[in-house]
Amino acid sequence: MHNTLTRVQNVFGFFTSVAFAVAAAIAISVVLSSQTPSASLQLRNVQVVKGRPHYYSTKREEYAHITFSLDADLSTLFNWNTKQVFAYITASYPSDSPASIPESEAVVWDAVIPAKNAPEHHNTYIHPTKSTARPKTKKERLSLNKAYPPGKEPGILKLDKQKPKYQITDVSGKIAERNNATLTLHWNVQPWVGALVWDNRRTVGRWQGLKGGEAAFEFPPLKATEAKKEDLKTATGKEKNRGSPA
Amino acid sequence: MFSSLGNLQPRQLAAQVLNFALVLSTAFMLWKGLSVFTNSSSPIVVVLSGSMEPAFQRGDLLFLWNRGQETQVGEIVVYNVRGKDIPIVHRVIRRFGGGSAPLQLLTKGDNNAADDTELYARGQSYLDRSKDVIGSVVGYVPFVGYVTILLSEYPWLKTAMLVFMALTVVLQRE
Amino acid sequence: MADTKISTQSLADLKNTTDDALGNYLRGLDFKQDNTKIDVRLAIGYASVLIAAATFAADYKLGWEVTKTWTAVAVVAYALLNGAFTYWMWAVEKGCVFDGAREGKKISISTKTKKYDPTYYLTISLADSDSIDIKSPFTTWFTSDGYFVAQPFQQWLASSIEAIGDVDGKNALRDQRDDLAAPTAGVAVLPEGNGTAEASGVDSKAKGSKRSKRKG
Repeated sequence: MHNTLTRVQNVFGFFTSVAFAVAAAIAISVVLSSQTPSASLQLRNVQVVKGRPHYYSTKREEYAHITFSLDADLSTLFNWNTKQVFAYITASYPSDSPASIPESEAVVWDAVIPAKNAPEHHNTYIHPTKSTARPKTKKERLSLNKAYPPGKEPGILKLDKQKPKYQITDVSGKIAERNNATLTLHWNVQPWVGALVWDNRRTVGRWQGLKGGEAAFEFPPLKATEAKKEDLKTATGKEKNRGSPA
Repeated sequence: MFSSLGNLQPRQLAAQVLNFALVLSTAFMLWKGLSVFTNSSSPIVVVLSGSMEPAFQRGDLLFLWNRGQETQVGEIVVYNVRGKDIPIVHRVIRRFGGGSAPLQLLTKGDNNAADDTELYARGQSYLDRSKDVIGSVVGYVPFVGYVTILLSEYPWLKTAMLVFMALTVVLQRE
Repeated sequence: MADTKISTQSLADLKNTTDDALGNYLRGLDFKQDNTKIDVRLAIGYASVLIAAATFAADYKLGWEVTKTWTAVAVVAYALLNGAFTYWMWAVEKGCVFDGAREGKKISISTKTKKYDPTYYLTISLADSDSIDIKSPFTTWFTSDGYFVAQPFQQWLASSIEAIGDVDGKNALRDQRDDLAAPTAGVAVLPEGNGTAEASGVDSKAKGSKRSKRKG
């Protein structure tokens, strides 16, 4: 400690070591939290239409519009080290040669569910509410802007006849009449510090595996008649970057 | 300050220079060792844009793993657009192929309304897992990478830091 | 000895300046320095630096994909060399600051300091006798404002170590040497704040020389 510089260096070094140790402790301690997620997922309707699903699509191709119902309790996924849970539902179907090529998979809907102590961000899922009455108090107004139904906690999702966020295509351009397709709920827990984890179907230690959250379906044949525009509406997310992606 | 260096014997001067060189080369070899371990050319990346908010903010540090070739939908991958050297961190939203066929991936940033089709090279509609992807995110530390963003936006900081480091190591004989 | 001022609060600075002075003093007395230990250390060190530099160059020119396997090999080689380097410094050199011989008689000196203790610990191993441990506070040869004074340092060395005292009669103070008497002196501890070697430069020099002149 023979001069100020050395003292500053020592303090800074000590701070770094302590910060590192605390972060490591937090990251590893999540193994001790217990998780009991549950979900039930049903397909409501699936339509396959030929057209241009995206504004940048250069050719007409078959795309599928899938609506579903979801009743999920992911609240136990939120522990002291959870920053947000990215919940997403995918549709997967076998490839053209299932023996050597695994299933193709595409995201149909996703939601960013922040933890209670996460800072406010516009790109957050807002859970639809049944009540159409205008909120009277500020408390009511705030509770309607949450990622979960009023009176519940983060991770509770109760969706009925939910429209998809994305209309999915296959790389070959043909998605009609594919059988043995599955709709599956997944999640990705984003920590404050440490390892990212995805959904587990098998129980690992104190983390129960998810049972349910799957629905088998089949892609119907191409819609012969013109599909109504309202039927093909998608749910809009809260992403701010529109137009040119960053 | 420098007169103390002039008084040194040539071997001692060589030893001092060696100390400095060892600091640099050990840091470099640790980085390369991590690269080899994770099989990724850049095993630690700093988030540069806000396209994955609120999960990742600018300045966050991400740890990559590149030994799993069967990337699943929902994983967050880092890739380089063909021909450019800017790594992009986005989430996989579609996958086709895998196994004996090349794995094709479509990505999208959580904070982007549109997927990355317009970001890919001309004529490219999907990423090739084996060619374009640098690695998949497995771990995350907030904020600490912000220093590198400062260093890249103010290049004189980088030179200043290196000179400062060099001086302290060579002149301190601890 | 250049008149550079060091911070008396920094134990590392005190030790390093004293080590340098020790080397210069002994070389001045025709002790030929044997540099093998340092040379081996430098060789191992620079070899590993070369490997790192080569890896860097290869990676810069050819990119990651092509150089993957060679990089893995280089990392392992670097780790081994660095391990050898650390082992060499820890086990073989062990604080050695002077390794040499004069007229065939070998001498090896290693020094250390203890944290928050302003004392200079010296271990000398001679060819024909056991190792001797001596120590002295740094105040013996440093002024309070950080200047190194050669005379008291040389006097302490010459008086405490037979091999040096035999060569440098001027600095070997007779009364101290007489106290030491037995050729295999064990631990010779100088009295605290050795009177003549006080921190006032010119005076101590005069006193010292007067003394030796009188007794000599």
